[in-house]
Amino acid sequence: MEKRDEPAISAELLTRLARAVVDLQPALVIDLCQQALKEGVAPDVALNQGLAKGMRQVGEKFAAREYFVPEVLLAAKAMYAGFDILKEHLPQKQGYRGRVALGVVQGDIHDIGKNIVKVMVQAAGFEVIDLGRNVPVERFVAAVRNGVDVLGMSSLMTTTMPNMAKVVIALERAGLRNRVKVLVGGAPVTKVFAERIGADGYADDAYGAVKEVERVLK
Amino acid sequence: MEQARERLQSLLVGDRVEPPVVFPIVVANHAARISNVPLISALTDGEILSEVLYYAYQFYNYDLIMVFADVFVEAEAMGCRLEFFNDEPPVMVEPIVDGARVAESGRQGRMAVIVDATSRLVTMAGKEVAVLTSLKGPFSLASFLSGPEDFFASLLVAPERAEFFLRLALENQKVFAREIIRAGGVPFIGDPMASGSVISADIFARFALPYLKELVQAIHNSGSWTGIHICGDTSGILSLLPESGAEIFSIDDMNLSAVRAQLGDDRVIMGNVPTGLFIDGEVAEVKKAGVDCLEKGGQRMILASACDVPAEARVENVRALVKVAEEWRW
Repeated sequence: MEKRDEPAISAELLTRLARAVVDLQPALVIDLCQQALKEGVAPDVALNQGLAKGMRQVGEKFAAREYFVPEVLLAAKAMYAGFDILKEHLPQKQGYRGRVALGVVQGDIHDIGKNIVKVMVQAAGFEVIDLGRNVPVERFVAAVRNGVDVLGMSSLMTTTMPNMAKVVIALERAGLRNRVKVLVGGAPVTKVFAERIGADGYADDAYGAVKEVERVLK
Repeated sequence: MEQARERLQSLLVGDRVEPPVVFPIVVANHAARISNVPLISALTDGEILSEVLYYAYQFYNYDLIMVFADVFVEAEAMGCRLEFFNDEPPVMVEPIVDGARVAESGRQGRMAVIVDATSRLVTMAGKEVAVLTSLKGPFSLASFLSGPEDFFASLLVAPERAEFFLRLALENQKVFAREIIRAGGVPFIGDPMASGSVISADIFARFALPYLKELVQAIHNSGSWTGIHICGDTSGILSLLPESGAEIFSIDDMNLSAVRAQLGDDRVIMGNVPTGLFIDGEVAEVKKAGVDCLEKGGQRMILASACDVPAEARVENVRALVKVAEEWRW
């Protein structure tokens, strides 16, 4: 059997790792991450070209309606399982593409959508600060004051949508509006609504959310 | 003109109905809003719920009444913890992962509010109009009981866990449906989490459809007909829906010509004017969308909104939909 060189082996390993995420196999993802570290694959390479690449493919399948919510949640579980193995070996604060704070506005505790967006945005190489659900206006403002590039808010209820506008106004009053790009989303949210409240962007699914983050930071 | 109740019966047995049956799906939230009643009162008191729904029915003069408070009525009765607000629907704070049990009667918790409102409305208006009473499909109820994220994961990796909750949900809904029928209502199944936007056709076929079928069968055995509403894009699962055995399929905002082609000419379809139009559309847009529904859906249609009419819907827009049916001639 022909002896292959190391880059070929690690390329194959990374492909298998990405595939294990797409195939929704958390246990296999853990094995492959451990194997990657043992074989000297750089942890950030394993993250970006393995886990994150797999998650991007999951996002594409979701957009193409091959995958649905259960599959995305399970893929996210697999990705996090691998991330837990890699994270202690990652170089400190290595090249994030930007910092994104995400939260579900006050009065609303529907956070599956936000969690899916979080996974996709992380997988695309951004640092995510998860503010959680039922987040009061002041917490969004504080997150921006602490320094984020993008603030993403979601709401699943028409009754809580006005809280997004309140956050935008509060950012203006605090003189912080120019420091951050504001994105909004959630089932009842529309592009028209986003424009009306002065947000910088809107997406109607998690895959679109990643594209919006990339667009507003260009 | 025949009364609404008779026109619905005619539609169900296959006759041409003129004017067509019309029902903007007005439920507790919009009904409470136009009655100037805090939503929370309607969600927790059967008498008030019946009054606001009756007021809306008379105010708009449509052809059905639907008793629906919020999606968590049964889940709460079975042990989930909710948080209530004055004027918006409750949210679920905690599912019941362990210790879930079937309600001891069809009147446990706020299921009693729904049954009470049903029986009051049947007394008030049952001679002239059918009273449909909403209950959750087993799939959606099971997802609330187990917590949606946990439930969705278990569908793929621990199906026996998902089936445990589905079985509990089904048994509860059989009890609830019997109580609704006893009160004179028609159980009408809403299964928002079984949406084609949320789960694949395979998951629907394995985990949603069999339980829907069994619930529909139980409703038929108790002497009633039924309908099913599923939110979102159901194009991937439409061809499976008739297997449930339900008499009416209520369809969300999607291409009605395609829906009609998939379900065939005989099925009664309810739908599907986009709900957003009721908030920010113009009267002319609502009318156009309504006409469009009747043209595409044909005679076997109940002209309706795609999902429930939002609380803040404009009154003139809801009226406009009723008007489309009144003026329609085949």
